[in-house]
Amino acid sequence: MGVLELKDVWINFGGIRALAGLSVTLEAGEILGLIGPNGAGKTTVFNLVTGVYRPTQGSITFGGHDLARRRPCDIACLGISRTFQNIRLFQDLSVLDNVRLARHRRAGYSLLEAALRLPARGKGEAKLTADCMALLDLLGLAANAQDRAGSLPYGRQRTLEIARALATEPRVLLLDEPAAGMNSQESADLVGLIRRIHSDWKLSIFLIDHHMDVVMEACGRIVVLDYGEPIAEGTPGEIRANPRVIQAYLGEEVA
Amino acid sequence: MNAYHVQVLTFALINVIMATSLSLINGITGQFSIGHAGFMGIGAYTAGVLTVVYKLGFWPALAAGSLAAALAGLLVGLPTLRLRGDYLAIATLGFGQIINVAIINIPITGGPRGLTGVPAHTTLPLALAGAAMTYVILHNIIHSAHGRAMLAVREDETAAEAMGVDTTRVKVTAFTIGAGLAGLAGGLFAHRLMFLHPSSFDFIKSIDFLVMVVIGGSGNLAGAAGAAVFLTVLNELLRKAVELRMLLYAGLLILTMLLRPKGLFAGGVRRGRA
Repeated sequence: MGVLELKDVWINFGGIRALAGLSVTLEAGEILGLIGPNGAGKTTVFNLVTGVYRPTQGSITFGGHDLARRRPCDIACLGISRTFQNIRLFQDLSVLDNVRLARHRRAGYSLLEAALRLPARGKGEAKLTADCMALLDLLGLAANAQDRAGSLPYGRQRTLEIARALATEPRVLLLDEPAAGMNSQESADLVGLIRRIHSDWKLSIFLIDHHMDVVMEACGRIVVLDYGEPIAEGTPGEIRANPRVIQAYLGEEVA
Repeated sequence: MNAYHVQVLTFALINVIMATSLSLINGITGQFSIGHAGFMGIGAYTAGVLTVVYKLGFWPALAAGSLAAALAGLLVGLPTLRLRGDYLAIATLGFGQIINVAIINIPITGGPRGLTGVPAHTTLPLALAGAAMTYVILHNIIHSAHGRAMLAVREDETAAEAMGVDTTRVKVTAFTIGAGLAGLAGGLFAHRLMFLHPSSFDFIKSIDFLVMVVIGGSGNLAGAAGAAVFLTVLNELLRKAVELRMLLYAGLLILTMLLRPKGLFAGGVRRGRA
């Protein structure tokens, strides 16, 4: 059964056609890869799903909800969370606060209770902090909890982005190039992490990446985009052998 | 301490309310507002007119002034907080001007001649209680999940939205709370000065409060409070040399930007704590 369904989605930016009739379904519990050359429209797909852009045409549904007209914060609350291609942590806040922020709707106390420091605030804050420390611990970031997010090494910032996305307790996780800038060892660790959170959190994951080894390792199914159009879909093995994909990446063979 | 000292200190504490409440909007939530004196004016005139013209008691008048300013904050915030940066600054500047022109032209406020005969009710202990209450409430909000949502809006709106923060709601909330507290400061101000004039709440006044926030360190509540006292007292000390005052103000601002970009008073950006 599909959790997240995009049907015939088009989007234009002025005269530029960024996506042309994309239909793709993220099945419950799968890890779906989205690849394609630079500028193919991969991040645009994520921005459409999370409500940053509105589709020119087509429908995006998530568990029966139409997402096309919703605001990003409502979509996040429905259970779709994401990371960003160029890391967008709250740089000046602590690692812990980054994660606590993502759970702010689960803090369980009102603004008035916060302002007057009523008991509900203390209880809510203690539970929030404990939950977030447990999450940081699972991702190996507990020791950095008090550090400024912007001071973490690059790879750890990527992990923190994943932790922050998980803190919202999503059903669908969108990972936008999590392996960007990583060496092969770090990429391999990342695949392990993606698999672990996939099984532990029972998530459906939609993954964009340029590292073919990461995508081929982690994903059960892959969709290939080129110039905003889907050109192939299949298992990693099928995609590797698909002549249209090879052509899109390497160019046409001169006869 | 003679009567003059008491007076200066009372105004300093009222300015603490103004600076800290503006800090919630500008420093914590990152919404550049330069119409804060407008909200103070609404609070001052609402409370003043109620006690002078309608013979209402001081406490209900004070509450009404604060509520009127909060309501104005809500109404102004809803449309304008969709704007960012320079555009929001211009919109709030315009709002401040509108309030000023409105006060001058509504007969009941006494217009350009001012509102006289406001009874004296604000004492130094009352101003101190008001400032302390404001400080504690703002401090509690900032160090809560709601305050973190405000900081997230300042840091990165797109990321905040993606984490489920309703950025519009958070901005309007901060703006409304800040405006309501400015209204409280206005009510206290009216019943201390005993005379209200539109020029007490003009654009220059808004800039004064902004300077307090900047010198205190954007997002630093204690800094804003310290700067409010420091600048109010400095202003009084320089009363005999008005020309020098503006020069000193400008110089102080430039020096702060150059030497202490995170504020004259220590800290700066709040770090998270467990």
